[in-house]
Amino acid sequence: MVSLWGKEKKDNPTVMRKNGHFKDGCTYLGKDLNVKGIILGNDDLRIDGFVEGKLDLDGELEVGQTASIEGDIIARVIAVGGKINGRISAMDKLRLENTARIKGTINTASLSVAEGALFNGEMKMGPVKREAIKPNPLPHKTNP
Amino acid sequence: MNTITSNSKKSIISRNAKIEGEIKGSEDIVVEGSIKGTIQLNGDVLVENSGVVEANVEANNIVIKGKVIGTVTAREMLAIESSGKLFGDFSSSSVNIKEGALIEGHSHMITSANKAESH
Repeated sequence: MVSLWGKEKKDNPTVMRKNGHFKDGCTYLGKDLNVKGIILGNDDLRIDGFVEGKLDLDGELEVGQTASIEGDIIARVIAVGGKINGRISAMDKLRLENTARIKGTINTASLSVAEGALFNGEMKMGPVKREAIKPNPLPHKTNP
Repeated sequence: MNTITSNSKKSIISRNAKIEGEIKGSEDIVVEGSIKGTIQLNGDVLVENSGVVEANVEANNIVIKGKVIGTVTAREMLAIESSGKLFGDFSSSSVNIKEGALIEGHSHMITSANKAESH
């Protein structure tokens, strides 16, 4: 799969390398993976599958075309090529590719949108304070 | 059974990532970070040296090089490498345990007879 960033300038984030291999320290959730819960960390993350829950990353997030996310997202840099239903908070920047389908609230310092992207909801621009949007932890399941 | 399509890549939970919740699907995953919850896959799970899994794990093949706390079910093969630690019961049709591995729990071998029962 071609990186979401395509042939953009190299100051754009690339979670994936050009040849499809991953940088060290990059989490990848494939398209046949279904995650329900909280994802935390300071590594970069690419999602091609389905995630329901919260994402709180101190890194870059790439949401692939086949990806679908239900829930709140916080990351430094976010690129979206898939579907998101929830609150999106990008500390540094947010980029919506033409295949992006977003429903919810966007909160970002810098935004770019490709023609064709769908966005329904509320947009807030300006400095993003992490503390203000820290997601509440999910109610803990009884661990078996 | 081939669940891996030609263009699919292994899913990775990297070292500084943590997932709390439920992971399901038909992918192979490599765990370098930490997972808390449940893992239920039609694929393989590799827990790397740095990986910490506090979850009940069900997968086809499971290789443990790191630490797993929970019940482990490998439909095909369970391998615990010399650096691996397993705290919990495990069941598998075939086990491969290296010298140095640490295991605390009950073992239950899946034989063809009780495999047929469960289906």
